[in-house]
Amino acid sequence: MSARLGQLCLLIALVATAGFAFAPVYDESSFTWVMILTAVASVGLWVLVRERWPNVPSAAIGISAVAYLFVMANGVTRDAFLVVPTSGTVAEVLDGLVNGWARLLSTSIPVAGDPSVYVLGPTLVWIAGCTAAELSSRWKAPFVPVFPPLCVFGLGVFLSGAQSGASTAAAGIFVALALALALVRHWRPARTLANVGSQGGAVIIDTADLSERRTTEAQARTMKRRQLALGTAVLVSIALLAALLGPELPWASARAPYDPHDVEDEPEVERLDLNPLITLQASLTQRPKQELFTVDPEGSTAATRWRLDE
Amino acid sequence: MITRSGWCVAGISAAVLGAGWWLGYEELLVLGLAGLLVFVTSLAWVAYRPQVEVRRELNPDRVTVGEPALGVLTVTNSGRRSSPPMVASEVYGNEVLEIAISRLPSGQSRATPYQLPTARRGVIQVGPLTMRRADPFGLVATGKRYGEVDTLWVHPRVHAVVVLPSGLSRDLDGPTSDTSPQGGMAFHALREYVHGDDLRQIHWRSSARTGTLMVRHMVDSSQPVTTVVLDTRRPRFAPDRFEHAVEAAASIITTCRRENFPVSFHTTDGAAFASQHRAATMTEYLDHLAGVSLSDGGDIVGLATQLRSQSTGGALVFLTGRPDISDLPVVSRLRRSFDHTVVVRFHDELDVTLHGTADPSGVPGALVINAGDVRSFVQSWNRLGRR
Repeated sequence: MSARLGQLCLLIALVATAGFAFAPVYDESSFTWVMILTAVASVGLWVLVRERWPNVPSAAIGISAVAYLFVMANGVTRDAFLVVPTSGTVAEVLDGLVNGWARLLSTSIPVAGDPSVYVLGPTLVWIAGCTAAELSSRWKAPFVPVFPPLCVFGLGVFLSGAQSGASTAAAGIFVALALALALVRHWRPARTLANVGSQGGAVIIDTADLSERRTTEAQARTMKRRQLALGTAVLVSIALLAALLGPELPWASARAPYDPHDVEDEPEVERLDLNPLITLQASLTQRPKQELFTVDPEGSTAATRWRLDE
Repeated sequence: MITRSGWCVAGISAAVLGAGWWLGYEELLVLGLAGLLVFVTSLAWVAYRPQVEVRRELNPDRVTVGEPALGVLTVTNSGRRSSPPMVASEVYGNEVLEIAISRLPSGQSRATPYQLPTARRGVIQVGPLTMRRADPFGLVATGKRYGEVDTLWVHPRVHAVVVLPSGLSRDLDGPTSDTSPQGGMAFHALREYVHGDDLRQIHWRSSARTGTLMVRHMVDSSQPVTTVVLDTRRPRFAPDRFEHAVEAAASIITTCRRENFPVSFHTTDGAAFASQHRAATMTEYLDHLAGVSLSDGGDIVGLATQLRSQSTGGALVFLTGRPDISDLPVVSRLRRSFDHTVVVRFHDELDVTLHGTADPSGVPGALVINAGDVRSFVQSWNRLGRR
């Protein structure tokens, strides 16, 4: 039970960390909470529903879809809590999924204030969470559920483009969590004499000293725990080494980070007149928080008047 | 040996590292480097191969369903260094059991007991065993195989049933045959002495004439034989009902052998197990029953012909599942060759409605027990036996 709970927590943390690869893409105050909520809801709900109705995958898909819309309505498309998703939410989400890619690639990052673009990251994290939870229950191979979050992490880094390097810490944490998940999944309790008691049967061993066997049994139990502890030390070391050495590799800085935003054409604007103020207006609209100028009233005479025209 | 996970991790790590270099992304370089570091660490983890000898004991090697059985692995480290922690993978029927073997100093040996699953009846091959070492992430594993295979017999449960009054002896001396139980007062033939024969039965005159020791073969012709026939045709049984029939057969046979009554056991797939003139065969019967399973074929007509030709009377117990009209004439014909015929059917009431004949519960001249499970069979059987 504790091993399964550990697996679930690690999987949620891994999916959430994959979402943090999108951090350079979005400039939103609620980004952290939305990613955590998305990871917890996607993985947790999927596991719960699949355990309750293991033979009805459509139940998991349906409940997960409703929960997804609820999270989108509350965390992404509205800056409010406990908002019930409406048809407007669905339309916004659909618009984001269809057109968000082009808008994201055609604008400079970080992106802010555009829900249709903001939908993409949490949606990818949600899909990765559900897929990882399903793979985790179907496959015994330790690293299988790591694959969907890895893809999302890679996509997040790709969309960050020129901002590469901003998520190196997240990559290190991702490595540590992925190895911890594989370690827990590969760890199985040893089959020992102690398990016999669970059947309620009395066992008589007449071929060896019982006290020696009890000692052996305890050693066998502690052996796996030691291996778990040793594995934890190894994974922490590897994550630290990789995070520190990865950016310092001799050929790491050989190429400039590829920026997909350079490829996509700028949005076409019908140039009806050649007034440069229109181009300036479009640029300022994309960067609403950009500081334009500073006014220092000290040293001015009382008769000076300031007026700002829009 | 690199596992499939190992190859996948190595391949994906190399691809991510290559992508990180090509695209110039530091995050991908971190991920790819970490994957390769894990892979190399795993290879180093299992590089040392310990020299150990392993011996397995089953304790006991015969159990009844649900009773505990232990395997005991005695591992001896014959190397010059301590052996690292290992996992012994034991093939147990169709599954694999994993037993943790802790670190062992050089020159020492240690016995490690582990539980064997005995929830299902069967003749289970235990082994071969592989001493396996794997890294904590399951990427690389090495193993040495120890080929010795032992057998664990998981017998069916035996329930307390009474011996059925199984017919009358037609003659005090009765018809004798080579298969009649020994130890009686009826003379059957002279034969050569074999080890274990009673020396008082040596026929000295014949021995003098032939030059070899000859003994009188005395048989007990008054002991009635109980013939147990177990239907193993798959369509006759609902799921799980067959186990009840096997337990019923085991109970009848065990009771007869305990009372020293001869028993012959047959299944409809043609396998027969009869031992009428040997003393201690209860274990052999249970061993045989442990391996009985349902089969797709089965010739009940051929079996009936064989039983009629060999019959010396006594009782016939036919254990089957769902009633079927095609079995009625066969059982009716067999009935004439035995003093008592009991048909035991393990089925649900619903089965009678679905597959039943006009009179599904009746076989002319035979006693019929319809039982849902082995407990209701025991109650009905004991009621029948005490009449």
